[in-house]
Amino acid sequence: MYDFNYHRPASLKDAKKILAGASDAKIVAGGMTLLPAMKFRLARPSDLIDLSELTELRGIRDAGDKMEVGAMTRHAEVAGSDVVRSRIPALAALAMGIGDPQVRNRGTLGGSVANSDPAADYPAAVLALDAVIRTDKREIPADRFFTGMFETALTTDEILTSVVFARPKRAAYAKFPNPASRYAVVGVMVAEFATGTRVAVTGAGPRAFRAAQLERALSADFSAAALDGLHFEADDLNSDLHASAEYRAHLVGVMARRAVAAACA
Amino acid sequence: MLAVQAQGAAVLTIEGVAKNGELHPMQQAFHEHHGLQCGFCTPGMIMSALDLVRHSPDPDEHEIREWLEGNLCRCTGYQNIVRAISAGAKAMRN
Repeated sequence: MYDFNYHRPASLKDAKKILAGASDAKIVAGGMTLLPAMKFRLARPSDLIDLSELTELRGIRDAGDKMEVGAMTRHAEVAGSDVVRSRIPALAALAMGIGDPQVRNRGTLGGSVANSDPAADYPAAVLALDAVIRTDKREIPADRFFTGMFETALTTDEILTSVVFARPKRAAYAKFPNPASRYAVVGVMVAEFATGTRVAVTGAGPRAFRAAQLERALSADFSAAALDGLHFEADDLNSDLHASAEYRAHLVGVMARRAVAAACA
Repeated sequence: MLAVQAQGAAVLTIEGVAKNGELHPMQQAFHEHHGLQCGFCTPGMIMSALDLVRHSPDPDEHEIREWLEGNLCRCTGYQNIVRAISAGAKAMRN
């Protein structure tokens, strides 16, 4: 690890001030990705701005058909929240499936979403639950947020403050986890709304994305059988030591069926 | 996490679990059920087990295995660790 300046501001205002004044500052939320990257000397920020004291970025607020989750809310808090479990149980279940207890105790919603790891779980929920990403400057719709592998619409001087999820009629997330890391080899979230069904895929491509073909089929008929015979193309999907693009394309169909079956159960 | 992030917090490690030279019931259970071989993973296993019992005083086997997902043991095959935690949790309830 290289030397860096550590800051733990007490307010969002102070955090913004430090961010503006530093040459190459990085914001650390749970540190589940950034700290290992720094240990491996893959990242060398001049300053680290720790948001863990900002209580204003923490917590879950239910507002009927919407639910706002603060950026610094830990995965374990979402997984264990009575509000989330009763209002959007699929979101609580997704959070419970992230990593292991140690990761869930430290990792945060905002950190995961801002990182846009292609195999992270939360981006699937952000896209499927038609979320709005709130920052200190603006609101960004989910469909415009994830722009590439580890890339988002956030600018370098912008701080993600919360995510507002839409409450679906029913939803479920199914993932094929890497057995060691629990990252998604492929994860699919399906969410049925009055206006139609949204299907989001993570783990399969360079970033989480929506599957229009599956959405059309499920909007017409929300059942696992509606996906029979659909062939998901492997073009643009990831091939690595865990799975080929063809295998991932196959898993998209399998995970989508499992998610629909779970949502109908 | 960084050590500096623990500023102002109380940190409990395996060294602080035994009291007055007496093993903690969870440590005793690992001893009695042979929940270790090389011992490398044992401090982490015991600290995770204590956290599990804090959340769930009477965990079943499935719960114990799920909770240990982040702790790797390359010797025991986990069987005796799971038995030890089950017995340790029981001893802590009594």
